[in-house]
Amino acid sequence: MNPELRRNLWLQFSLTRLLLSPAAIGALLTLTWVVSDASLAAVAEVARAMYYLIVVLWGTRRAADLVAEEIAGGTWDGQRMSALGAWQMSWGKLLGGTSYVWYAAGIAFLALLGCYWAAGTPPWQSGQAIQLLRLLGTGALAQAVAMLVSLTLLRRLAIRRRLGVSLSQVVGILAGLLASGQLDGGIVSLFLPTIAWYGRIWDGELFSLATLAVFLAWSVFGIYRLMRVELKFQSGPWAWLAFALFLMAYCDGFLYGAIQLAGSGPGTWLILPFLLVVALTYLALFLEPKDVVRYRWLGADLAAHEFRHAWVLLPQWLPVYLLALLCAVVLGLFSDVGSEGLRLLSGPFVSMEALQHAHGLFLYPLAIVIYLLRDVLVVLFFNFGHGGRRGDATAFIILFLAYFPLTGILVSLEMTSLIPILAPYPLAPPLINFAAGLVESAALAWLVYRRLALAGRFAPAIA
Amino acid sequence: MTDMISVSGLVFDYPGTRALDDVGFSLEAETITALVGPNGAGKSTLLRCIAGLDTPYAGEINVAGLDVLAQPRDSHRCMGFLADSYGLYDDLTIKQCLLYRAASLRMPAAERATAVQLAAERLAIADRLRQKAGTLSRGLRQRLAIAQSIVHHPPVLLLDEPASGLDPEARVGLAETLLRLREEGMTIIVSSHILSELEDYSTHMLVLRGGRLVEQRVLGTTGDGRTAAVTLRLARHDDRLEALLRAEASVGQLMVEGLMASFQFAGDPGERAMLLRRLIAAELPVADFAAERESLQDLYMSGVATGGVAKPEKTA
Repeated sequence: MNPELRRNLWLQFSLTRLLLSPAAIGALLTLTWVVSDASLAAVAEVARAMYYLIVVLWGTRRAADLVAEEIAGGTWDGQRMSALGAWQMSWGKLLGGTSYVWYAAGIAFLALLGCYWAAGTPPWQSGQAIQLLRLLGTGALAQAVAMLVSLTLLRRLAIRRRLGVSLSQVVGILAGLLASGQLDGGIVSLFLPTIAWYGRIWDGELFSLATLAVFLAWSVFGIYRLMRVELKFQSGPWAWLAFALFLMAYCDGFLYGAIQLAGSGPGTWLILPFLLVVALTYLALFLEPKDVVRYRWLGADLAAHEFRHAWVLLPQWLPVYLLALLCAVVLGLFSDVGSEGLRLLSGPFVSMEALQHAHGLFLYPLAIVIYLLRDVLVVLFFNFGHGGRRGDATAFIILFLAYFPLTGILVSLEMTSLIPILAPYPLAPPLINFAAGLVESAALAWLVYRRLALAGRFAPAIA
Repeated sequence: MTDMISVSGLVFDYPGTRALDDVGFSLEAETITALVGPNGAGKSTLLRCIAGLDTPYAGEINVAGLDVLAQPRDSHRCMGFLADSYGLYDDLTIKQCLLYRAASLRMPAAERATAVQLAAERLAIADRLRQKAGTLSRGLRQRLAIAQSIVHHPPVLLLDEPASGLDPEARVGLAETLLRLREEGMTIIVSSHILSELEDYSTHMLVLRGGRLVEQRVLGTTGDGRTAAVTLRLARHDDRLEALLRAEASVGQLMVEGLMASFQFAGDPGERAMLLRRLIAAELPVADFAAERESLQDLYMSGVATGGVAKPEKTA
């Protein structure tokens, strides 16, 4: 047996705990049975609610706490000193650490199955199986996402604080609500009994279950990749790139019908993936630790043509940024963003109608990529300084101010010609956007280089 | 003897601080090396790099023939590491803690029970195997933590401030344990800034300062590893004592007072044995003959005071 799983089972189960869950859940369900005049439907609803509460609320807390409690207890280094592989450690921890949660949730789940059966609807009939699988998948996804976020925060050392655990749990709960159809109002399962994806009509329930399974697989893969980093395995930055490519392909499937109907050109296919990749670049940029020492190593390796070692040191945002650049160039070559592009590129300060009269809109994605580079450099600049720990927050506030309040003020004052100083503006001439973005990027690149050089002037450890 | 641990050109940076600067040394098997230095000298960073927990910018680390940087997970099977802020699973019994550790280091299932029993016996906790870790005293927790580190019988053991927080009795117990482990063939590095406790069991010393290795030496000798301060006492007065010692080329700084003589001897323990044999052959009534062990505190202070970077050399 996986040693990590067994250790967790030792810790999670005792005779008292084994007896406590069935007793508590059984008592509550019996109470429901009595007060509802022996209503099977009422018992089933309570069992379902208990299952969700246990598996999503409690389960995400456990999953978010798995690594944090090792760090707080001083046992994390011991785990890292083991000879277990990243995969063994990942699933042993995720499954073992939440095993008691699943034991308790399993009792509620079995009660739910029993109610269905007693009501004359066996679990394998009339789509019941899909709903039950979705119940199980929801819990697994919520817990996997919570652990994934906690490992991400661990790399930024934020997990040492209880806030980090709570944040991981909240994200896990949101993922669970989304998977269970509670967050989207049940759009997929109730209002859209069928889904059009890449021109084919899919059963809504089945499609959402398949989507849940795929995102669960990505979450577990993410845990595995982050565990590899923790256990000092050397890995290149291709995982985030692979996820970006998957997301591009997945999301584009929903636009298929609309694009076919509009009869737009091939460039239109790239506009949604492009915007997704831009968003994923920002996400990777803010989530990854930006250790100035690591960036210095990367620079030194590149200078020494040690490309194999440099590949391991590359930040995850860089390949995704290059993918965004590639998309922008292709969009520029096709000279077309289509009607979907107009819809997606419009925002609070630019309406679709205004965009229809914009010149060279097909070059606007390229301007976005140039400003994205500027924003990357802003984030790096603040992270490489003395206040590096607050670098992300500082950079985020500055970028937020530039993109929203300040741009909004310039729009309301009808001083739109100044907007390219702050952000790319689709109604500005492409050359103005390019020039402003490039000049700012060049200035910031110099400042970042200076900070990198300063970080190399070492103070002795002891004066 | 062969090198069990060799480190070369090790560089580790924190933002704005070079924590380890071109650190290099090699340590023979079956030795206990005291890793000393002021706070912030880089002791813990060095141990964590050797343990494969932190990755240095440059350098090579070899433990028991394995390249730690290239094979960090494999190298964990040949070493044990006890961090200064170690923790235990309080709700597990001692036996479960040790079994988990053995399994997580991929020991064959058939060997685990024996390994657990042996580790518990080595640390004198075999009579408490069913006791939960959370109920142990500080000293017993320390023993369990060391037992976890050695359950797979690694050739190398790294201990970071192992005596911190221990009472005097537990410290004596720790010293005895380390000496026993060395006798059983382990190579041990112990980091501490409490020199008095290291003195009881260390055979070698590494001094770090400002991220640099400033001294490496065999204890009981001076810096070159071959010169020892020797004291000799006769059972009865003999006029020939001074003349016989002065005739020896390896003897310097001789002082004779009554039955006692003290001098610096330039030679290894084998050559020292030869000198003793010659003195006895000359029918000198030698009652005591011993190389004086220099105080670790004095050695450390002299090493740190020089401030220079030692030539890390292979110690004999």
